[in-house]
Amino acid sequence: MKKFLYFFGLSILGVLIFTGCDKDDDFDDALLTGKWQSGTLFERYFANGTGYRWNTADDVREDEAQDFTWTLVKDELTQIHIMEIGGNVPRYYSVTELTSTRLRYEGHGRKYSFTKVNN
Amino acid sequence: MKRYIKPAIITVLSILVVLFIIISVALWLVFTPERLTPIVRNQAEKHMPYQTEIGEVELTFFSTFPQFGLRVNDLTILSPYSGATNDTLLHAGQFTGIIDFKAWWKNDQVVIEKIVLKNGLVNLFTDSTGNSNFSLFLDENEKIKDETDEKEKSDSEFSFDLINIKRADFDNLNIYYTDLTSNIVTEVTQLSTSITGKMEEDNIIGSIDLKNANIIFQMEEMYTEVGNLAATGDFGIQGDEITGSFDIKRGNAIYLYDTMEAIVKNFSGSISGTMLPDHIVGNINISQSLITFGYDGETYLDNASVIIDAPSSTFIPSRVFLNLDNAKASVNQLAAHVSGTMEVDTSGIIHTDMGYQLENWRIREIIAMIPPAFHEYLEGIETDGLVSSTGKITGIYSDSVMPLMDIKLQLKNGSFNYAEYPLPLRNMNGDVHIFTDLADDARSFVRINRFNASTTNSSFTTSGVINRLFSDIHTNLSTSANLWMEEFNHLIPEELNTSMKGRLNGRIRSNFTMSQMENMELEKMKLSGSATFTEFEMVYDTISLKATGSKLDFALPNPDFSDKNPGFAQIKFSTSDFFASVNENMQTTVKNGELLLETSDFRDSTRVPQVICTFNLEELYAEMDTIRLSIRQPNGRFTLAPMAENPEQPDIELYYKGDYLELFAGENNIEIGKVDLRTGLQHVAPSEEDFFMQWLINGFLDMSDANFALHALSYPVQIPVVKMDFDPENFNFKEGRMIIGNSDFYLAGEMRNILSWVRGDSILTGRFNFDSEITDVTQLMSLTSGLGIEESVENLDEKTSADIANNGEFTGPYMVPQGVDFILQSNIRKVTFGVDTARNVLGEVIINDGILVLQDLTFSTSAADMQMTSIYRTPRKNHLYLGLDFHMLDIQINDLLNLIPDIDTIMPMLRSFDGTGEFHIAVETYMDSTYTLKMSTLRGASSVVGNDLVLMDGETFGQIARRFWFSRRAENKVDSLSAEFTIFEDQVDIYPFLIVIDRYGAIISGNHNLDMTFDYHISLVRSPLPFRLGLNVRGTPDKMRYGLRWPRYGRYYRPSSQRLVANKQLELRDIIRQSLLQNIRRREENQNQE
Repeated sequence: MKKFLYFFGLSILGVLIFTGCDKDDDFDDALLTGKWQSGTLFERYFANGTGYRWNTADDVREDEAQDFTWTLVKDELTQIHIMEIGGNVPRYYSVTELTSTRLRYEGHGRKYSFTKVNN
Repeated sequence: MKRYIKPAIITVLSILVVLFIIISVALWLVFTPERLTPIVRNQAEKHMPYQTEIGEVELTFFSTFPQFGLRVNDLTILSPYSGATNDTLLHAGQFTGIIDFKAWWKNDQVVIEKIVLKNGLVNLFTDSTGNSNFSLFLDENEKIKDETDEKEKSDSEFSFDLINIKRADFDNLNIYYTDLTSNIVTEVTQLSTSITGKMEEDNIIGSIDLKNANIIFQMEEMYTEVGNLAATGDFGIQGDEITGSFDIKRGNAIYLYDTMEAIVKNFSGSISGTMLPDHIVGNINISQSLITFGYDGETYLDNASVIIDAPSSTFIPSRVFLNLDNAKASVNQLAAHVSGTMEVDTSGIIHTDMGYQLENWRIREIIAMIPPAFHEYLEGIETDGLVSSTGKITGIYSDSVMPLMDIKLQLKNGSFNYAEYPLPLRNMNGDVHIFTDLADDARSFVRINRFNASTTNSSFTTSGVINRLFSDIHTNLSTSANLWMEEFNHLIPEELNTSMKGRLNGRIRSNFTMSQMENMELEKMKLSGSATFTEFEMVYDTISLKATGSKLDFALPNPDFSDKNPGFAQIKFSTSDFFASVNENMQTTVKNGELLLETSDFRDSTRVPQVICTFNLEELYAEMDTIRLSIRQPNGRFTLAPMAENPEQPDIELYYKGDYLELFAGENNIEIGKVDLRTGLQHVAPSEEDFFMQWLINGFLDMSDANFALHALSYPVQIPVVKMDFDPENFNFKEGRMIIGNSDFYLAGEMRNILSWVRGDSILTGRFNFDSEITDVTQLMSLTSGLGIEESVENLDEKTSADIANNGEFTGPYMVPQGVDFILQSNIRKVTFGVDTARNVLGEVIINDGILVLQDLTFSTSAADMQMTSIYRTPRKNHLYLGLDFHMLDIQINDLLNLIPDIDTIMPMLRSFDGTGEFHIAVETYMDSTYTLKMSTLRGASSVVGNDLVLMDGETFGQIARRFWFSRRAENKVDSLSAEFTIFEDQVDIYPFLIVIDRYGAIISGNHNLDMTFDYHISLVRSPLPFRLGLNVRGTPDKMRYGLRWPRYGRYYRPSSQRLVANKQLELRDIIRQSLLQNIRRREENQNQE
């Protein structure tokens, strides 16, 4: 019984320890709205949960950008890219930094770093 | 008996000798001049009122044998008078008189056996007051007359029963008479004549033999002289009737008045007739004369031979009435016959009723009589011919009124040559009737019964009427001509650079007035005619015409005028062979063509003329530069009319029907077997620049057996048949069968909003059924690429139009037509797209304003039955959108990889599977102009479901199987496979899926990049092993790295941990699959609704 209690107590401690170490970032989605740039890659987020993405390296203009919807729950940034032909391409990222001037997120084996640009 | 003869002769001779002796004694001894002369002088002094000088008086016997005569020599009566040129009133060189005293004594008859007067002179003078140098004779005569009257009162009879002048000879008698009261000077000189006469009671008869006389009569400015006059004649007076007949043997005459001069030489003839107190009837004949006539310094006749024969002529002096009956006068053999009357009334008005006839007057002789002053008008003119005329002149002639002239003119064998008109006319014959009073339009006319003339090779004839001669001349003529055109080249001004050949045979009828002609009032004129051209050729500058067997008919106004047909003019043209060329670069040939043109007045600038043109040709050929057009049996009708609401703009209708048309234009070739076109064009917006904006077009086209090989089209287009209605907004393809390149299709449907599309107000819409045995998509795309795309400055650097290589091949990206909304309901048995082939293609092809959509297309390939929806959009040439929604429900996986090799790149592990599966993919991307993917725009989602698959034994599988201690077999059965993956830019995400092989089950997830680097995780969720394993596979296919890891997923898709990433992936996988399946459900719903 003493041994059981020992393992039980150790488990609780472990849970508490690991729970305490778990990331619990909560980013303000209002900071996400606006135009972000990463080199030739651009993203624009609107407050209504829509946005679009384009890359000028491929001779794509902003008015030709492709749409997505987004949600940001805590640090979980979900982009559902909408295809004109029908169908969606979901992308899930973890936001690591979101300030009024910088946005960093990672997922799908990639890391992205954006800076806020005007207009 | 003989013995009595001798004594008788002796006795008679003795008596004669005695008588001779007695007479001689009486003449020379008793009645000597010395004794008679004083006696006569005394008697003269007693009885003559003027001083009389008598040279010698003698009694003659032997010179006047057998009568005694009394001869007076040098008898002179003097009457000096102031103003007279001579004191001598009368002088007779010798006067001899023989009177039959026995008749006087016994029978109370005056018989003058002979009177001879030689060298006589009579000089009479009357001054301006009326007194004359012979007035005392008048007074003596008055006295004698009074005495005679007294005696007549007592005897009441003439004292002599007979006065008989057997012979009166005057030799060299000169008579001068000057009357200053009338300014008359009369001279009769060198008068030699013999006169005989007899007066018995009131009857006088006599004869005259005028051997010579010179007569001068001068009054005021008039001077008349008759010289060398000789004539013989008889005359008689019976009561008031005087008859006479004279032959004029010779004579000359001069008449001068003011500027008029008339000289008559060598005239001879006769004159006879009867003269009553107011009635003269007679014959006048001038058998010869030479007349010179001048006026105002101009000589009108110069020694012209004039002959006059006026038989049965009547003259009534009191009425100044002249009646000629078949009188004939000729001047230089130009003879005129005149019959009729002429009368001058008291007011000076002349009344005529005169007929005439001219016979064969030679024009050359008429012209020869034209005065030199007028020769300049005839310079260069040579004309001849015979002119005849008959006519009648009736009515009144005065200062204001002309008589009515009824003149008929005939011309025979006329000729005309004018130096500046190098086309001599000959064989001129005419028959003209002139009827006029030179005043009254209503009565006057000129009727050309016939006038014909010819040149060397041409001829023409005209006839008709010309009236209203004195106001607005009106002509109604009919002219026929047979012209050899080459003759008229000289008449064409050189600057026109025109020449003609061939023959024209034509007829023209004209009916118009001069004012209409001057004002070009064509609408009031009547003109009609026809012309037949034979071997006709004309060259005008660079334009050449040739017409063989052509005919032109025209009429003004249109004889077929009606409510539907314009009334101004009608032209008919037919030709068996017509050729026209310009600059040798343009030429047209027509064979057996007919054209009918009817038109309204085209000069009305306020409205478009109404024109109807009907044409029917057997063959038409035209060539210009590299363009050649050939048409067989073109026929139709072209109408032009003013628009009802805007007459200044045209409303056109065209009906055209042709059997065969072939057009070569450079590298373009069009052949059309048959065309039936009915169209209407209304020019509703002339201010617009674009043709389609200006015109409203509608109609119907039925075309068959057409072939188009156009440079702009990469492939030939064959149209076995097309039938369509069209109007400004709509094209209605009732039937359209076409073969374009490798494609053969039947097209039916409607195209709408055409005009609105041109205006930019709307897009062009079309709904068609597209039924085809075979369709080559690549070729059709190259044909339609770039339609409707406008170039703009902004896009100059990257043109949005289609790229066509020099060889005509389609090289650039396919640009979807803009501004159009076309839906083709397709039913294609075979479709080729490059090397790919599909069969039984059903579905819609939508082209909507730059977007090409293949909507719910189902088709079969060798691999599987497929469903596809595709969007191809071309906003920019370097930014091309392609979206595919592709569903293959029963396909061999290896066929899938062969069909779409790119799938191997997206999901390389499929290479390890074999079997039948279900494949869904939705993918979209943008491409540049070379169709290179813009990886940043690549999006895709796919789902693969397979059952009873076989996992192929490959190198990769071997590596993995060794890590999991799989049994190595050539084929490993996979019970089921259900995987979803997405494509985002250059990354493919494989969402966790379960494969079951034999006793093993594994969940695989991960991602790889299109550069073929990957990062996968495999969780072994079912195995004979007592524990679970996970394996990470990273690297590249050539260099893979493996590492055993704790399994990420649990059995039956449950995540092996509660990590949110895994949960989210499962959630997203469902999103992907549902969105893909939604496309299939939508199609099924549409099919159910249909």
